[in-house]
Amino acid sequence: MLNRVCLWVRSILPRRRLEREMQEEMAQHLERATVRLMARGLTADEARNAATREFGNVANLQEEARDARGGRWLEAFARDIRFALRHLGRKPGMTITIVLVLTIGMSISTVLFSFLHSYSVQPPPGIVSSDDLVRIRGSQRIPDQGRGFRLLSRDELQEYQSLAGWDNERVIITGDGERSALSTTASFVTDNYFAVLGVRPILGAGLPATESVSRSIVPMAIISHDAWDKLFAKSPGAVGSTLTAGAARHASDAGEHTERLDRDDRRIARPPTARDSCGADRFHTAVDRGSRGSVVDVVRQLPATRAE
Amino acid sequence: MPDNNTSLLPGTLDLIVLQLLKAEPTNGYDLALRIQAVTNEVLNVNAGSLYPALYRLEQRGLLRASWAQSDSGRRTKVYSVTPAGRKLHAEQRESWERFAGALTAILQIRA
Repeated sequence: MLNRVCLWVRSILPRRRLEREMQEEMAQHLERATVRLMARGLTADEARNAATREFGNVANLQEEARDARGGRWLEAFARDIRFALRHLGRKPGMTITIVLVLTIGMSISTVLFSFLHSYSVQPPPGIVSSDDLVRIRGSQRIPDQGRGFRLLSRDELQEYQSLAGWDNERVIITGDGERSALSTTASFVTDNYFAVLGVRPILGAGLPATESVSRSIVPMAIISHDAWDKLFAKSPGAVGSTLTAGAARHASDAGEHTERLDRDDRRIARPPTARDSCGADRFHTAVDRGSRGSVVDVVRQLPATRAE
Repeated sequence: MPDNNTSLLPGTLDLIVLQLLKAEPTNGYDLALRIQAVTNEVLNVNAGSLYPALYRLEQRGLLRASWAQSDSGRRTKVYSVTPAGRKLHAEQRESWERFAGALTAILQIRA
């Protein structure tokens, strides 16, 4: 196989040398045939003409030889390129227009594809790509709860190994002593959220297992690398410090409480501030391990530290 | 005057070229002359068939070409058979001998 590749490369790269050798070889053939015929008594011209007749049409023969050698498509391609360059060189205005249109078109396509690929197909950074990870979308109105949930039947639940949920809300976070405040989007998540996604904090132990947490739960936060930098200047002492999170629209309502809701034995933790700010048709999203899906919203806020 | 030249059977040129070059590496011109001489000019392979066949066999890695000095001191392109060419030659020769034997057996039947 390697030998064949080498032969093919050898046949297409030194085209000029091969061409020169072929012409030299054929000229030599004609010359020797001429000499042979002259030895039989023909004049030089007669011998030359007879040798040429015997040899055949040189140009046609060389074409056949080129076909036999292969790689003709490369020559045709090179000819097309040369023709195109000459044509474009004669009309610079048209050339610039074509280049601009192609550049804009390809740039838009590339950006759109990259965006869709990153946000729809590829899992976010930090999350291992897995066909088992799916995102469940949808909502249902629950009048007495005043918000929408995607409810799963028991049969549906049995299809999944584990289920995690989250809800996003704009909040203002302040660290110890209110040294700084950060307006950001917070995700209120279930205890197993990071375990389901396979994401581990780079600092701190992560959220404790559900079984180890009492109902009067102390709210915990896992902050992103960016928030760690802005609020704690990347200090390792961030772990264990206190954060205050208030809804952006109700800055005075500190999100210090978390309530747990039982849904078919699946608990979803949400703070009162999130509930207050959610409308009746607010979507609740969940991420599950069972089939393919995306968890884009999560990854943008990769956890860095855990503050209690 | 009757034409004593016989057309080549399709597919036999490669076998002829491989057989003669296996016996002695040589250039295209001498190879054409040798075919004529060996076959008492029954087979006359013209350059239009010979050179494309040589290039094709070289391209397939069955022949190797190299430039060498001839006895007259001229630079000439000499073809020789590669190991792959020897292997193909053996296969084609066996196939041809089987076919020729079968045809001969048929032709020996008295009409």
